[in-house]
Amino acid sequence: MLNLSVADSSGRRSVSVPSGPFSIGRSSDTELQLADGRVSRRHAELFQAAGVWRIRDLGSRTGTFVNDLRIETAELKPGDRLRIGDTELRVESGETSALTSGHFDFRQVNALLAGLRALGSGQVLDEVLGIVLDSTLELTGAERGFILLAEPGGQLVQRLARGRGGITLTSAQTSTQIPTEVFTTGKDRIVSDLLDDMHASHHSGTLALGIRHVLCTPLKMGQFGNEPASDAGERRIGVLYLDSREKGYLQAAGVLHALAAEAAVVIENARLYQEAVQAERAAQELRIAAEIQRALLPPDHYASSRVELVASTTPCRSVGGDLFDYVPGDDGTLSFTVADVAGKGTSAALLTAVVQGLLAGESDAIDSPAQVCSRMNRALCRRAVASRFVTVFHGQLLQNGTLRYCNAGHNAPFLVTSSGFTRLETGGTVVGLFDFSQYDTGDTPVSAGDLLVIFSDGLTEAVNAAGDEFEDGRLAAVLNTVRGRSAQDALDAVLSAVTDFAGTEPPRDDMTVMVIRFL
Amino acid sequence: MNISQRTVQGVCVLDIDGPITLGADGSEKLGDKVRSLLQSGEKKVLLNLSGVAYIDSAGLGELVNAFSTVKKQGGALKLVGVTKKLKDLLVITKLSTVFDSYDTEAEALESFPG
Repeated sequence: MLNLSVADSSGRRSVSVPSGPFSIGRSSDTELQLADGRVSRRHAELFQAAGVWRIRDLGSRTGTFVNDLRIETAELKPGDRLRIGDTELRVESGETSALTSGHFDFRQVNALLAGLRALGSGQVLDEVLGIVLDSTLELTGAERGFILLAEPGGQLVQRLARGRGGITLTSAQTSTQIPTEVFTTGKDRIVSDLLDDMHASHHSGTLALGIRHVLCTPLKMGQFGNEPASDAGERRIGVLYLDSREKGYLQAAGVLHALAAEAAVVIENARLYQEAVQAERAAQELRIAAEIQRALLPPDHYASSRVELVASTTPCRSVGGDLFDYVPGDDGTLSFTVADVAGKGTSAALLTAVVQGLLAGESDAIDSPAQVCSRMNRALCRRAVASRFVTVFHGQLLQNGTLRYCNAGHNAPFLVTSSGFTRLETGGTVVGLFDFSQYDTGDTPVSAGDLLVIFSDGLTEAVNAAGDEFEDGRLAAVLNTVRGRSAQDALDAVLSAVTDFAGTEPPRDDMTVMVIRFL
Repeated sequence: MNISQRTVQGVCVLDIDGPITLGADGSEKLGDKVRSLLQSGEKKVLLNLSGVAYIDSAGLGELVNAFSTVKKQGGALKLVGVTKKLKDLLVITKLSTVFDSYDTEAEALESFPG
């Protein structure tokens, strides 16, 4: 390839001459058209002889000069000055191996890609698009390059436009029609003169810039570097679009195919990598959220002279909508709560954090459990999130040994006594839906050795492979076997029973169990 | 979830078929439907839930939301054909006191004020 720097009335620009013969003149059917009245219609031509670039005058009126000497024909070397009419051309370089071999070396791109991966960069795709366009412009001598990639829905979106010298063009546009056509058909589109094109009216914006020559080739994943025999099995990811005021580079189409094939692979790799990075980032944020959520919970066991308390909560996703909490108050009261926010996942977790905040102050027996639930209900109604509610079981073990509680729409806990079960149901409806809801406080005597088992519906609604639910009945059967045992034994027995029951069925809901043994 | 609509004795009856659950094209559809009924002036709404085998907590929330929306507009939303599963859920959450629920459509239709 020969590169020429040209200065004429349309400005200084660089022209690539991929192969000879390459004609220069005033006529629009020459490969390099010069806007210069002293240039003949077909003035001179460049050609290769025995691997050497030469220039030949085509019988011009004003002559062809190399380094100020008028010539009929002459060999060209880098640095030579050509004068054609009043136009100066400079020979910039001779052969470049990339083009003559018909193969572009993307090893550097792959090396960079590996480096960016190592850095965990999320900008891999943008970097790669830039490299592909800059390389393409350098190889072909086109003035502007564009990469349009297909969105999941199939529409093409311009991802990057570059000019020579690595300049990002922010407002440049391609022709509207050509990229879509190329993407749809999978075939190159070469327009050597937009003025001659049957769709000239569609290109008015481009024509206004003096752009007349366009080459657009699909970016496709297929047989590497070869033309696939058929369209079957090839996947197009977008198009590479080049345009210019010169048409010299159009002859590089064969090279472009090799380049486009490799570029498609590199771009797709970068895109997949970027998606992986983004998915990883989202997963990382969820892991952090899950850690924060765990950190917001108190330790999963607590012991005093009066109680032994253990609890377990397992979100079915990264973060959950269940919570447990307990606070030993200054006045000797132990208050404890299990709550379940409607829904699962991130949105439920956010509301869970709000509930935890509301509970944080409830550590003594100044207010009854009904008042606590009532206050929580009003607070949540004020921050109303449509259709979101919370079921709450809030209990207080008073200094005098009385257990009082309010059950706001929660699965009724089991009080396992020496003689049987008591279900703790007194309270009211779920909190967060109606600001007029009323709550009652229930109380029940507890004896040493009694076990209070509070759970969320994720436990009793755990499903086995046959689609049956665990239900209160199975829970009661397990609890019958742990009467008089430690809180930890009871919790372990319940969790292992539900795990055995569910087998390989994945959990559908968050599952929380709190067991308190009164001493 | 599919919702079909018919009018009986001046009451708009919505026959709901399929689970009412979070996301799965379910719960919001019910809310949208109820809001559009209110906009067209319907004030008496009866939800026939006999085709609803499963409802999760988000679906229950949407049911309550629909109830509240109608009530705020001075209308009434009642239930018929509540399956055992939903009945249990309404009992546990103590929402059974909020909803008027009937065993037969005839009883439910009678209960709306003339």
